[in-house]
Amino acid sequence: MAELLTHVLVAYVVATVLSWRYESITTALVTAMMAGALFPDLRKIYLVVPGEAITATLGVPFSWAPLHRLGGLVVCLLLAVVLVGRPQRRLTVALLSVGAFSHVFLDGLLYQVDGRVFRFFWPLTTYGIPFQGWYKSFDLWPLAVALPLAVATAAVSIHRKTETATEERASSGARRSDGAARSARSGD
Amino acid sequence: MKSSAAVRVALVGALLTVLVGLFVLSGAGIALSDPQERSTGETVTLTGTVVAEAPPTISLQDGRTLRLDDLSSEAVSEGQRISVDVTVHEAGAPPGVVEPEPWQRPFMYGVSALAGALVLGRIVDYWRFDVRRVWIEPRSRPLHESVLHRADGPGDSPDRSQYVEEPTEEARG
Repeated sequence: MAELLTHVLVAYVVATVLSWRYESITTALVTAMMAGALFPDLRKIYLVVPGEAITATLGVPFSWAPLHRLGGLVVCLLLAVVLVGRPQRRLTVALLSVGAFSHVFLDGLLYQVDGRVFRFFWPLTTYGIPFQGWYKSFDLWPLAVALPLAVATAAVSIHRKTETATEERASSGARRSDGAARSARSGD
Repeated sequence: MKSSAAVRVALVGALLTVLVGLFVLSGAGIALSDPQERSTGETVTLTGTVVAEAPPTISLQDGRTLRLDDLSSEAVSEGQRISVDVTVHEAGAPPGVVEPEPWQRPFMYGVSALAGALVLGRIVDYWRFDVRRVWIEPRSRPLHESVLHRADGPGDSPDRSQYVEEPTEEARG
């Protein structure tokens, strides 16, 4: 994995840019896409509760790895389908999915010693697409690209919101002065 | 509890059961491991360019070299690109897996924790859990604005459509 901040920032940039084009993508839904980018790394629970500890306690084999694979991700997204309120369900789950798969896509670009992309399609297949990789897990440059991009996106987003609010205030002010002029004329 | 909420709870239970099933399935050794996670006895294919013929040595993509003592020097020529299957003798990373600098791992965990906190904060700010309906929905107004609004006293309410879509008639029903 690239570190989680890169994944979250990439999701933020993609969702925010989409929100400029599609008004239905609200700030809450931008957050949903960022949350989707967290899904595959829920596997990192193993740092706190190792699978071996669960195996030792319960006596059953256990691994958190499916959270980073197609099988686990699909189940997580189905949980979202069930748990998200009906009015926002479709869009939320769509953005969660885009966030989750953007994470997987970025992880697929990682350098792997065996020259194959990690086995994402488990449990359907353990086939790994041949690919030499573009960066290593600990490379800093993905974050160095994502961070300024996210800052620029946030700046443009704030500018757009300020402009919209100014325009709205100006138009509501014009409506109020029109109404005042009309009532003054009717008073004559 | 309304029947739709009860159905939701049942579905969540069923999906969590499936998820735990996947955890057990993978723990039982259904192969899905990445090279970094390989354990003793597993085989890893390494690809590299031959940089020396006697003894045969290949350079891996991460810049490290791997000497292939069991391979005849006549079998390879410099510049040739070859793949070899190696067996992991010690648990952990096989040869060729890049080990981070000492500072890189804490840095990575630090920024990852920051990202987790950022997203968690935004979720709490923009989303709420409706206990009655047992579902998650966007707040009508972000939590931070509600808190600030309460502190400032009553005033003009900001445009809520900025945060949520108005529920449809169907959803209201």
